[in-house]
Amino acid sequence: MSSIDSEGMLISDRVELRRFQTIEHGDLLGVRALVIHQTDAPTARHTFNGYLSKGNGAHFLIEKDGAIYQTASVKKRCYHVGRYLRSKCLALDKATCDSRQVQSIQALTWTLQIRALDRYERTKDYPERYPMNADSLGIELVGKHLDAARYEEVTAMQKQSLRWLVSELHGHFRLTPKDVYTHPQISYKHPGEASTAEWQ
Amino acid sequence: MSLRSALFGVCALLAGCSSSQLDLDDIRISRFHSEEPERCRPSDVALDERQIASFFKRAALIDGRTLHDEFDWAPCYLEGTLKYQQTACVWRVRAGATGEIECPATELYFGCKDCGDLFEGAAQ
Repeated sequence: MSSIDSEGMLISDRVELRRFQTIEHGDLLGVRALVIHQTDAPTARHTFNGYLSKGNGAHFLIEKDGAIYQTASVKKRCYHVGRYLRSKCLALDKATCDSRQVQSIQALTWTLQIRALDRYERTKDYPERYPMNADSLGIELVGKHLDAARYEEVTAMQKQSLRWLVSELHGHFRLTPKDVYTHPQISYKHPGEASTAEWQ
Repeated sequence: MSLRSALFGVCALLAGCSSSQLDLDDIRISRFHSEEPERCRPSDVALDERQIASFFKRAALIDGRTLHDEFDWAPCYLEGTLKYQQTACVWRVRAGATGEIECPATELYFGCKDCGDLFEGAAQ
């Protein structure tokens, strides 16, 4: 059982607090969803070094041995989603898209399409669209990108820690299993990222 | 140090990671592939061999993390073969202005922030 303190840090024996204010970008108004990532780095330390100088990052990081680190406050926004949101209605139920608008967007070249779809999606509220930086927490799993199709397999210890963390965050923010996504589901990212993650 | 990181390190020392120093020859196009054929079409990456050479010359040689953070992964690409340092390799150029060269001992990643003319021009 965990609690969240006034600084937005998860208090539990299972979580080591290693906060990097360099990856926090203003206040997070609410937590509506969780997004699972993989770091493309061999160890947590590589990612921490990157966090010292770079603006992108996520709220939690799980090392290959299952160690859980909290790297940003759950009250702060991190840049973890990426530039352009995918269309949730196109992915899950085309009947719920504004068909005329989406048809005109799909006639564009791919690079123009992803910008136009992003603008269209951001006019909606969650859960009609995928989560954004402003309403989600990011969880990184340490793991390298192997080739054009694969990332390293998520370890059994990472899966166990991810299950625990997701379950705690579900409780704190009243989320459901439908509110957990992998990064390539919501943004245009390598399809292998977090594809072997399990949280249920 | 792996060959891949050694190559990247050398490249990083030369001309800000520009790939123009790479010794690429005999570029041939084999096929177009799309995982989302309704949305990512041949016209999105309609490049000829000369334009593929131009892409690899203009694109920056980047690591996987930069590819992930700063570029969009397009579900369609052109694929073909080339020779890199006399070795036969496979290349892919994706509609999001990213590319890969896979050789037996290494894999190189490329991203181009200034190649809009190649991709948007291709679709017209």
